[in-house]
Order: sequence, then C-alpha cells, then structure tokens
Amino acid sequence: MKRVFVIFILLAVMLTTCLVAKEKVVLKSVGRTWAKENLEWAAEKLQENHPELDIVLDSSVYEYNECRTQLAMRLSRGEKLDIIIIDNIWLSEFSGMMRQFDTATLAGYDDIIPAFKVILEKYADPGKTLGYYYSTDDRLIYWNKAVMEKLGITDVKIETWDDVKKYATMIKEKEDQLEPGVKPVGFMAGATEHTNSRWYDLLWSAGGDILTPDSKEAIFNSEAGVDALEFYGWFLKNGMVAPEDVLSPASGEVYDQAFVNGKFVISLGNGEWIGSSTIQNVGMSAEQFSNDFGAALIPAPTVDGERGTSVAGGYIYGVSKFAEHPELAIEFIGYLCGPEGWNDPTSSSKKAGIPTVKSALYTIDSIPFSAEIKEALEHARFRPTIQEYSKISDVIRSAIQEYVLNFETTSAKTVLDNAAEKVNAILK
Amino acid sequence: MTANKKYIPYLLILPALLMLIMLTIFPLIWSFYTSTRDMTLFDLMMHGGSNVGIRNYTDLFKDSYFWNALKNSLIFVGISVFGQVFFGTLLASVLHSKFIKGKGLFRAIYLIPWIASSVIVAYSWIYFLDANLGFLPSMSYKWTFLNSIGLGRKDWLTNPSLVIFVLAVINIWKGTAFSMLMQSAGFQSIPDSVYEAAEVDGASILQRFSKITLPLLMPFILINLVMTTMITFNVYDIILVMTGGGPMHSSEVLSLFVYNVGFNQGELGYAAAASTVLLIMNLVTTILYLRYIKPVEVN
Repeated sequence: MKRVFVIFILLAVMLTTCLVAKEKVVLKSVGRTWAKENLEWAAEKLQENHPELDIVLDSSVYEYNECRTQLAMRLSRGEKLDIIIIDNIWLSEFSGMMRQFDTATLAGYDDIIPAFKVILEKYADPGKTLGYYYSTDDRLIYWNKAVMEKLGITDVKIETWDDVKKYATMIKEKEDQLEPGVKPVGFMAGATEHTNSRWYDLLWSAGGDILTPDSKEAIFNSEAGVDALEFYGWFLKNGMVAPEDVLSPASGEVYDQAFVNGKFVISLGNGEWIGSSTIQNVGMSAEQFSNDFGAALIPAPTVDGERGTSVAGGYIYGVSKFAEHPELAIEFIGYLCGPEGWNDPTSSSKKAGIPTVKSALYTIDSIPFSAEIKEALEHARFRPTIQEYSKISDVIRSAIQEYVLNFETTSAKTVLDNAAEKVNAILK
Repeated sequence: MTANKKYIPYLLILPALLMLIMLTIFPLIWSFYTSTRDMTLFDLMMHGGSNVGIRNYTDLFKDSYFWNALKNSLIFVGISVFGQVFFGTLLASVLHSKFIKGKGLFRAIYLIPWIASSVIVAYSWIYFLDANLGFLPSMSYKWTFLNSIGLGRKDWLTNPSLVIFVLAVINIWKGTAFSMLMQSAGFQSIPDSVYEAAEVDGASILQRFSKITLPLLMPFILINLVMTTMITFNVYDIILVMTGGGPMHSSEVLSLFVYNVGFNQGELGYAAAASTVLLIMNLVTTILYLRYIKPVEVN
C-alpha cells in the first residue's frame, strides 16, 4: 500500500513538472559580427514577453563575405534558420528564401522611412514585405573648416558642383600655405565598392542612373555619367589632386581616415560614419570634429538640380522560409529594428549605421551633422538589387580607375561606353 | 595474435588517412565536380546548378581577366620565390657563421614578419607606402634625398606597372624567415669535419661553398622551392587587403581571382575551374622542380 502511494506521488510530481515546464524554443540566426550583442538584447526582450517559453538564441555571426556564403550554404541545405540578416544588394539572391509578411499586420512597419519600404516590398507579393529594413548609411560632402579658415576662406556654403570648384580654386591659389602633401580636394577611387557608391551620388545628382528601371541595360554612360566622371577629371586636370592620392586608399575607411587627418581640404563624399567610428579611430572627439569640419548635402550640378542624393546601403532582417518559429522570429526582429532596439544599451546597433525607422532617428543626434545626415535620407537611392551587381560594380570601378589613371589621354565618354558594353554583356 | 598485430599499423595510420580523405581528397574531388557545373551561390540555394561539362574551362581561357591574373601570378611567384630562397639562404648562412653572437635573438627577430598575421602585415605596409597615410611618401616631403634615390614616389600601390613588383617585395619580406628556417636545417646537417678536411686540402672559401655547401644544401633548397612556390601561388590575403587586386586588376593574382569570382561574384563553378587550373600549375611546377633539380653527389 505504502509503495503504491509513493509511486502515485512520484507520478503526480512528474506530471506536474511536465505541465509547468516551459517549452524550449531555439531561435537560430545568421548575421553580422556587429549585431551579436544587439541580438542577445532582443532575445531577452522576447523572453520577457513570452514567460511561458524558454527562449534560447543560437546565433552565428560573420564578417561581410563570409556571412553571405554561410547564408547561401545553410539555406541551400534547408537549415531551419529563423532570423537572417542580408545586405540590401543581396536581396535578389535571397528573396526566394525569405518568408513574406503582411505589411498591415507587422508592428511598427509604418514607422520605416518610405524609400526603404519600397525596397522591402520590391521582391514580395502585393501587400507583403520581406521583413524590416534595419540600418542604412548615407553620404555628405565634408570640408576641413579649420584649414580653410587658416587660408582666410570663411562662411563656406557648398550647394553646386561649381561651388566645389570655386572653393578648390581658392585653396589651390593659397597652396603654399598648406602643409606639404595636403590636396585641395579628394575623392575615393580605390579598390572597394566605396569608389562606386560615392560616384553614384554624383551620377544621380546629375540626373543619371546606373541601369534602366528593369535592370536590363547600362545607362551610366549617359550625359549625366560623363558629367559626373568629368567632375572628377576637372580636379585632376587642374592639379588639385593626383591619381595616386585617390587610387591609393585600400578601403573607404582608409580614405576617410586620410581626410580626417588633414590630407584633403574638401572631400567629395564620406559616409556618415566619419563622425562616429572614423574619428574614434583617430582619437578625435565629436565636438572637435564639429568645430573643425563642415558638411553639407551632396551638391547638385546646378542650382536647379537635386541636392543630397546619396547611395543607401544597409541591412535587412528577415525570416527564412525554413524557419521553425516564424512568428517569434518576426516579433524578435520587430524589437531589434524598432526604437527600443536602437536605444539598446549594448550600443551594438550604433556600429550598424543609421536607423531606418523614423522614431529611432533621434539615436544619431550625437553624431556631428546629424541634421544633414537625416535630410540626406530623404534622397536615398539604391544600387541595383540584382544578382549580377557585384560583377557590374567591378566593371564600373575599373572604369573610374582607368579614367583617373589616364585622364590626360582618354575621355570619360570612351571609358564609360566601354564599361557599359561590358555591363550589357553581363546582363544578357 | 600475430594476425591481429599485422593490422595494427593500418589502424594507426587510419585516423591520418581519414583526415586526408575528408580535408583534402574529398574537397579536391568536390571542387573538380563543381568546376563542371554552372553553379552560383544562388544556384546553391536552389539545389544544384546545371552540368556544363568543360564550358567553365573554355570560358576561363577566353577571359582576359584570367590571363591577366595568370601573368601577375607568374611575376609575383617568380620574384617572391627567388627572393625568399635567396635571402633565406643568405640569412641562414650568416646565422650559421661561428662569428655571429646572439643568433637566437636574430632568428627570433627575423621570424616576426612570418608569424605576424597577413592582415597586420598588410596594414603595416599600407601605413608605410600609402600615398596619403604612408610614412615613406610623407617623409619624402621632408627628406628630399628620397626623391633623388627614387624612393620619393607616391604611387607604390597605384601604378599599374609597379604594384605587382611592390607586392612581391612585401611577400619576400614576410616569407624569407620560412626559407631561412629550412636552410638553417640544411646548414646544420653539414658536418664541420667536411669543411675541416677541405680546409686541410687547401680549398678556398668559394670552392668550399660551391663544392660542399651548395651540393649538400640542394635537397633543402629543393624542398624550400617546392613549398615556397606552393605557398606563394596561394597568397591572396595581403594583396586583397592592400590593393584589392587593383587598380584595374593590375595586382590581381590567380588566387585572388578565384576569391573574387567565387565569393564576391558568387560564380562558384567558374571559380572552381580557376582553382583547378591553379592546382595544376602547382603540380606542374613541383614536378618540374623534382625533375630538373637533382641533389649533387659530393666527393
């Protein structure tokens, strides 16, 4: 009798334990290295909202190219990834692997800046979206105010390409007062995508585009493209910068560092990170950067042109179509991309760029020239989100470099026409 | 019992054999298989890519970027291997000399570039040569004598006809320590008694070097050549960080071409075909070395 009672008690305890025990949920994510702490914050937030669950985040983070390769490999074998992060230029590759959500039902979706919603919805069915656009970046024209003031150039106002030429000429005239090696103007023509993106800003501001709207044909060799490249050429031809100065930077970050260190007085385009990570790397405070430098929207060719056109990069958080917990995953992403996620004390989000949700934009107020950075978001433009873009990018970059190297002997039109021919062959 | 003992050696080599199959043989076969398919990262997700036979190879041989990368590879490998083996042997012979004190310290110092991460080495050289941030270009404004000896130029990393040679010199700087270690082993294997006997017979320093040192070092030089060549053919990290293969692909070597095509452009099949060609080049070079460089018998 006693034995039966003990067995009964044990069974009762086991049953109760089973009923009370939380269901274990493992959310698998693949993302970028800088997102790690932010992901952990969102997992805690999700756990708070689902006390009935035992949520475990299984996150793998990688550097840029490795992230793309890992996503491709893991999704190709049908791995049940819940949360994925992709660069916007990989969108056409990965959209088929992403779950679509109803835009009307996603919390906070309307808070995303409209231009970014367009990209999210481009590869989804009508009324649907691929997730949340997490972060972006944009570019401004910057100048070294402290150096210009030393040369007697004050109240700098740059709105058009002619303004840039005018100030560059004024600096060139007083070149003997500059430190040896300092150039009136700089732009990026090195080995990375930064070369392309900063030239696209000029191309767009001149009214041109990279490809036709259906992405079937190259049009960067239009009159606008030629003007944009000749704009670079003008500074080279007038001795305001030498080919090696602009070709040398191994990356956009190296170029930005050279500018902050005083190598160029005016820089034709820098990412907004120059006022955060770049100045940190060279040991400059935000206050000093604000005092010693100036910034404005990317200038237009003429006063009637569109100022501020800036390439928008950035990342999209989505849910893979193999996800085991899609509802939890999209809720998780909602926290991550919303204002709370951007205000996350781990600050990992700060490494990612600018938020694309309007209510989180205040989080960049501490970055110098944040008003201009926010204004440039209104003019955000995107590179073609097609599979062939990485090949096209290489062709355009080589064309820019070819012109910079041979500006005395070749024309912008010839170089761009040759590049367009190659791009059209890729697009066939 | 005896029968069991017979299998023990096979059992002992089994783990190494399995590792070799998993980490070398299988990836090689898989890479060759991939090279016969029209496979992109996108196709990988869609499970497959179609069979295209040898089309990736025929396309490769029509691709001007491939030939450019091949030419750059031959220049880069040729200069690097010659420089590393030459300077490695020179350093090893100096360190082998009985007149040098503190050999351990010198050896440790020479090893630093070799053991340092390639990315760190690349950034160190960027901060030495970069037209905007580099030490040498900025010093050339102050030390004008640098201009008169040809070191005042700013286009070390941007001149298409110069950059591959600059990268080869950097690679020699990084890799010489490896050659030095290999050659040091060679020097230590030569008994002093051989030199003493030669000295008694009246052999000059030059004769001792050409008749004793060089022939006895030859097996080590051969191994050194094979290994340095293979390692250098596969170098891409320093170049990727320093120039990204530019400007205008002028510093893109074959291994970087494979990386760019495979991982930037996502053309896995095409990249696999290029990597197969790289493998064949490595094999052919090794066979040529083994065929034509024979150890010399010393009397």
